[in-house]
Amino acid sequence: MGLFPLSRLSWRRQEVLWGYICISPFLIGFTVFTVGPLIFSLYMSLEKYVAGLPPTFVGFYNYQYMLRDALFWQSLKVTVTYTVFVVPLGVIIGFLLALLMNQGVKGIGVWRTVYYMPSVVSGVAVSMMWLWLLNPDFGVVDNILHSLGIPGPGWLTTTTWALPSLILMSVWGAGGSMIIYLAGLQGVPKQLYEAAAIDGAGRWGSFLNVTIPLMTPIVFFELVMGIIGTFQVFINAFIMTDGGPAYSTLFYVLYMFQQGFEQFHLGLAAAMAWVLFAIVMVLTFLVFKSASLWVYYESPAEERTN
Amino acid sequence: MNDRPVSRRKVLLSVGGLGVVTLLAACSAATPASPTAASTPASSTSAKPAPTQTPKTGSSKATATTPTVAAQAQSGAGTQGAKIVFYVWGGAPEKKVWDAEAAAFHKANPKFTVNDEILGSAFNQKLTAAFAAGTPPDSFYSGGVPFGNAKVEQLLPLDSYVKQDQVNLNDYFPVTIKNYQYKGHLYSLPNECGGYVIYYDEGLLKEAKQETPGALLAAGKWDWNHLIQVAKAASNPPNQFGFDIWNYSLIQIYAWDQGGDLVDNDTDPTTSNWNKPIGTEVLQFYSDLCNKYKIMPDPSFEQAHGGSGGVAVAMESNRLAMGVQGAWERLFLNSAKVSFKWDIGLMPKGSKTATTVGYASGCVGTAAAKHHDETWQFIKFMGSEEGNKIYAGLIAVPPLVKVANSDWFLKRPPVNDKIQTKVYLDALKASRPSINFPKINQYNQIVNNELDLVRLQKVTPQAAAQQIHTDLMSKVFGSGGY
Repeated sequence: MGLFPLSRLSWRRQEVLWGYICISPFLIGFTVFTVGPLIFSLYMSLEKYVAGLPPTFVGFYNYQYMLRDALFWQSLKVTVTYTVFVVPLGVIIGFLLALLMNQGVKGIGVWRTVYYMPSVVSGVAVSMMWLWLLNPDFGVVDNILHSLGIPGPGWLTTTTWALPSLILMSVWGAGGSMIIYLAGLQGVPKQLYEAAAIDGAGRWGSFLNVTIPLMTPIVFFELVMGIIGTFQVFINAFIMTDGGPAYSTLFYVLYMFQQGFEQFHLGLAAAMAWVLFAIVMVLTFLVFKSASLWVYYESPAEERTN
Repeated sequence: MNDRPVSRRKVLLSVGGLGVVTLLAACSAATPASPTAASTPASSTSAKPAPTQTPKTGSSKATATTPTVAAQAQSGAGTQGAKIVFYVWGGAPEKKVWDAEAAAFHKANPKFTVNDEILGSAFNQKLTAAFAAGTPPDSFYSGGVPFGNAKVEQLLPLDSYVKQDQVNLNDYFPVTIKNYQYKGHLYSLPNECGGYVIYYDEGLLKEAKQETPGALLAAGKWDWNHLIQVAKAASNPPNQFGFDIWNYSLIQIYAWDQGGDLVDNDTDPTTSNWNKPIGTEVLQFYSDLCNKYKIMPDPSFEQAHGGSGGVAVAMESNRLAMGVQGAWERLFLNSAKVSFKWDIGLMPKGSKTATTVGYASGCVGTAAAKHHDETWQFIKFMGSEEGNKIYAGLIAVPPLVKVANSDWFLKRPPVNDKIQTKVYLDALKASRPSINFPKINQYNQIVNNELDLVRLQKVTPQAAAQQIHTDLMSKVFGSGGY
């Protein structure tokens, strides 16, 4: 008799058991690499854990320290400012680009590819490219401005322009959301436009009363993903400004990285990660709660939940 | 036969339990090394005598000139076949040096091999992540005690090894040893060193009708005022700048030159002097260079030209007349086949003295290393005459005084038609180690923030100096920090 006398089990039990065996690689991986570290980081956030030294349990000290730390608030301020500008910009520009790319003109495939292409370039490469483009000495942007008799503002070297530069740079990646909006636009049933036309709606009326309502679920998706994404901004600031000048681009995750991997305050960095998680969760919850006010679904809510 | 299906809860609990057990097992392996173990390297020194081997003479020029080094290196204990994992920065130009060092070490110590991982620009991130994960390499290259990458408890103190093998630290230039000392413990034997010098483009200075730093020094006129005068004449902002130096080097050197110190102790500071007149004076000077004389570029220039080889690139494009770097810049100025004529000079004199930052690089061992004894053998080899010559032969100054003063170094073929080795040596002799202590990252963050504000003229030098002092006293030297 084998260790697992499967043949003695009913067919149904065998099927269930095999099902679990088959998904166990994921379950084990998820537990070990996601749930485990999650729990461990929560515990770490309650410790004064400086890399290389034995950790000591300090309760909520890290959270209290954070509240007293001016740079924590500065990093939060920078990140919220970035989110407030970048998320609406991404939604609007992505949507407008999708409308343009939804036109049935010759060579539209090429245009779609061109606009989507920046989204597949790695963040580091994009940062390096922009670093050179915005360089006041030999950057293309300043050279163009100089040729027009306008002095460059010091894009990444002044406290006034460093964060706006990163915000403007984010538009570069609008092609990613454009593709999602485009898919949504192409899914709008033509009959609805025909019905609107019969009712006397012009192009603007159709856009306001058909296109926009049917695109709200996608706007909702982009909004949620945008909030989550902008709160996790790291690469641009890490490579281009390292949080400067004078902390004007000190993003939350960059500061968390500095605490964890430059100053070795792993317990504090873990606490910051949990605060970030809480902030993103609350904001996502608020967006979800507001959805019933502005997101239009063709099917009733009770059908969607079934 | 039981028809009841396997309970989902039981299966999930089993899988979850297995996962947690695996996780805990993994975590226990990554527990950081105990500080006690780290602070007592002697206890881990099994001191098994190595078999005596006859040094192979004549097999290479370096070995032939230093027949005793290989024998010394073989005297320590070590595990047969041990592989020492060694992280190092650099790129293609340095690769041949590291390969040569590793090969020479293996030749001198056939029992061990060095697995050198040349990490290039990823060096800092990879090393820091390895320390944070509790899996650092056996050894890594470092300029000074690597407080920016690790806690001192994670490093391997070498005092007992130095004593055991009777290494004479007086054989080295004092500044190079000071770079590796912290609270009486030593963490490396230097492999290369130097003092920051000024590289200049002879053509640009001639165009600006200015004398070179060397000529001004010979005339006894080479001070900061003359540097400003020369740099101003050679500047045409924002296209061309007269002078560039890393900010943190500038403020240190200028303070030392005026007879001041920004902290009470460079390696173990307990108080800041930024609230004293010297603090305001250095910030005023920095502000003047950027805003009044407009001879120094802003940080974007640093981003483009600030790293190793940056001066070579900036000068090649006629953007910089004088730039401060270490001896490594020579490698880039030579290999870039630059079209301009360049030379080097010493840093200018202040009201009291003429100093510069003295740096050293060497191998540091880690407390969590698998092979402490073998790592020590490697560190000792890199700090030996043979190890010094391989690296210094390419780009640097040998930290061993007798090697630096030997004909091998002083009379070797000159670079750029000039004998420059003497300038490098003079710079080293006039140098001090940079401020470096466990909270150096926090120190730099606080100072750099105010430097930004001063450069942008958002605050006065006096207010910035006071703010630096307040922040340092509360967050770095006081109890208000983490």
